[in-house]
Amino acid sequence: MSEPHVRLVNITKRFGNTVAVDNVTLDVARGSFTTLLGPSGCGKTTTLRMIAGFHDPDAGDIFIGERRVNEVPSHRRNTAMVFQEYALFPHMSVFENVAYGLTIRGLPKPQVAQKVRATLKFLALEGLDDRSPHQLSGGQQQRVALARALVMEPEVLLLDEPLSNLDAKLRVSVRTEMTQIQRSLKLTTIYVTHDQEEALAMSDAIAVMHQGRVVRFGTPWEVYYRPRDRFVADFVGLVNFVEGRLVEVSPQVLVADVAGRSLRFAPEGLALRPGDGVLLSIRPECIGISLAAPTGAANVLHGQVAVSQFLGRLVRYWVAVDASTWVVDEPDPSTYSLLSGEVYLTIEPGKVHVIAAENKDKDEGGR
Amino acid sequence: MKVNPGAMGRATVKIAFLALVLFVIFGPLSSLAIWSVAEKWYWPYALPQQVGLFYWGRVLGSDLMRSLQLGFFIATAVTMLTLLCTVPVGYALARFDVLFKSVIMMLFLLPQAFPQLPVFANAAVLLYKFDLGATIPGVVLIHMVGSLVYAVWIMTAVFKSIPVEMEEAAINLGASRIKTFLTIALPLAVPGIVASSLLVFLYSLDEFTGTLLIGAPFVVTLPVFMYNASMGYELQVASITALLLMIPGMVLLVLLERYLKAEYLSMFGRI
Ligand SMILES: Nc1ncnc2c1ncn2[C@@H]1O[C@H](COP(=O)(O)OP(=O)(O)OP(=O)(O)O)[C@@H](O)[C@H]1O
Ligand SMILES: [Mg+2]
Repeated sequence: MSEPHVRLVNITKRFGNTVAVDNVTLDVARGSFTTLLGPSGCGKTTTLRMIAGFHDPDAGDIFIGERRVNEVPSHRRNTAMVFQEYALFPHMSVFENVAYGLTIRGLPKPQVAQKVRATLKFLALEGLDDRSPHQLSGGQQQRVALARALVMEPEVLLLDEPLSNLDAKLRVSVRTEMTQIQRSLKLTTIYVTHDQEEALAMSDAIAVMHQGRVVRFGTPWEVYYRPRDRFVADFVGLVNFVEGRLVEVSPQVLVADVAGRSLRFAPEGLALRPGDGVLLSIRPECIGISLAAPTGAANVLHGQVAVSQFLGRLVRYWVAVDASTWVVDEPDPSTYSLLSGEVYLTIEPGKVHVIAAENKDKDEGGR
Repeated sequence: MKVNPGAMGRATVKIAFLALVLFVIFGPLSSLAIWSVAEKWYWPYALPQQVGLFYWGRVLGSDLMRSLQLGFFIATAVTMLTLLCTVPVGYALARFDVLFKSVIMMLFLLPQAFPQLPVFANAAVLLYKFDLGATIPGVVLIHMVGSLVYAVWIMTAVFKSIPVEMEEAAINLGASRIKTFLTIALPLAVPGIVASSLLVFLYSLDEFTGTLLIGAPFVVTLPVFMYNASMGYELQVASITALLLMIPGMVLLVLLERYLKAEYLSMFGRI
């Protein structure tokens, strides 16, 4: 899964004065499930539509396999797209919808019918052939849209927020289903969503986009635990940001002064020097919380529980330590009524992530 | 039981309003109906002294049927030609960044911006220059001056109401632009096309000013026939013609109402 299948090289797209996509470079591995994740208006759809050929990039190249496709019209690109609103043809039956592309391709009728039936069966849509799209539930419509794309056996599958019109529960089950389908077909898939949980759950790789740029590209784990960017850390889940100044640097451990307390953490192979300012991120579930003072922990903070919320599978605490507030997720829900008042927080050095460092010798604000 | 004076007042207003509406709609119609069967009717009598179907027989046996046929023929030609022009233009205006879009729209609207009579009079001069005066093609052309406007606006709105993603999905599945238009946009626009044809058809059937200016004396459609009849002070004939002229209109409007979706109407003015 290393060979790139779809390659975007320095792609830029403007609409009037808005730069919708700003110099994006991205390699999508063959057979991978790659997600474009970002807030509304960050350019996800525009990027996807350029791959499908609905927009021409103002600058840059798009490759599918070895072929540069900038000049290839969209109906010859062999990219199948599933639209957010599904865009099923309302004047055709389910069967005709799924058969549309194959018929256009000029496949003989029996072959079309056979492929359509196989695909409908694959997606558990048997018996709905003669229904009209408006006679289907949202989930069924979504599957018909997927069937219409999959039956083409496309080189690349493009999905633009295909789950956003489903209710929360269905969304979770369909996303599992879709991941299984994608894995079984080993079909290179580019998926657009603004839902970080969906992105983490489904993807092999995530490209986090912000204001038209890809600000982080990596595996779900990397994007979540090594965001390397304040925006990414904040967008992908809940996070504690800590600003400090390095007081001790060694190959094994870094020590930062954070508001008068020292925080020990792993160097992550970064070239840092004492005196450098650092921005650290720590996920709420990486912090331990207890009533009794822990022994032998590298980092211990003492604070006061300000608010706690019972979220079912976990309890979320807001703990005031000096002037700052820490968010802590405790995976054992039975602690809900037990933990209050004075508590101790413990942070493992390996679970602290350096987002940005600022060299004290330079005046410019580094990242 | 207490009577609420406010509610009473409102009910009175409602009833009065209803009566007014009924009078406005059916007043003239009833007068037409009465006139059509009046064989003798002199002042100061409120109703005809002699009632009968004499004039109906005369009208139905006269040239009127020919006028009706001619009118239908012209209206059909106008409708077909108008569709032929406005379906592609409407599609282009709805879907593409057509150069000078507003100029094109204005061009279509321009004849409507001026009083009809001078526009038609000028057109008449022009058509006579090309030997189209008093011919059926001449009348068809003058009708199209008006019909194109309606049809372009309606067709543009109709095509705009079809989601672009629908066509993009077709293109994405390998369909060319033309194929997409023929298999997706056109079938989905059928209700709108039907509605617009009906409007154009009725417009042509009822068009009077232009028909009189261009068509006289050889091309006599029903409205012109009616005009001629009432010029001869035969109010009975004029009333019967008017009643007959209403029939296709009502029939087609019932059909139209079934086809014209509210969403098309709501699209108007968003072009
Ligand atoms: N056809 C267009 N014309 C003009 N501006 C556009 C067009 N399409 C997108 N934009 C602008 O480009 C930017 C990126 O839009 P895009 O649709 O790619 O965002 P997105 O990430 O898909 O957002 P969302 O999550 O809301 O769908 C936005 O500022 C948008 O307003
Ligand atoms: Mg979008």
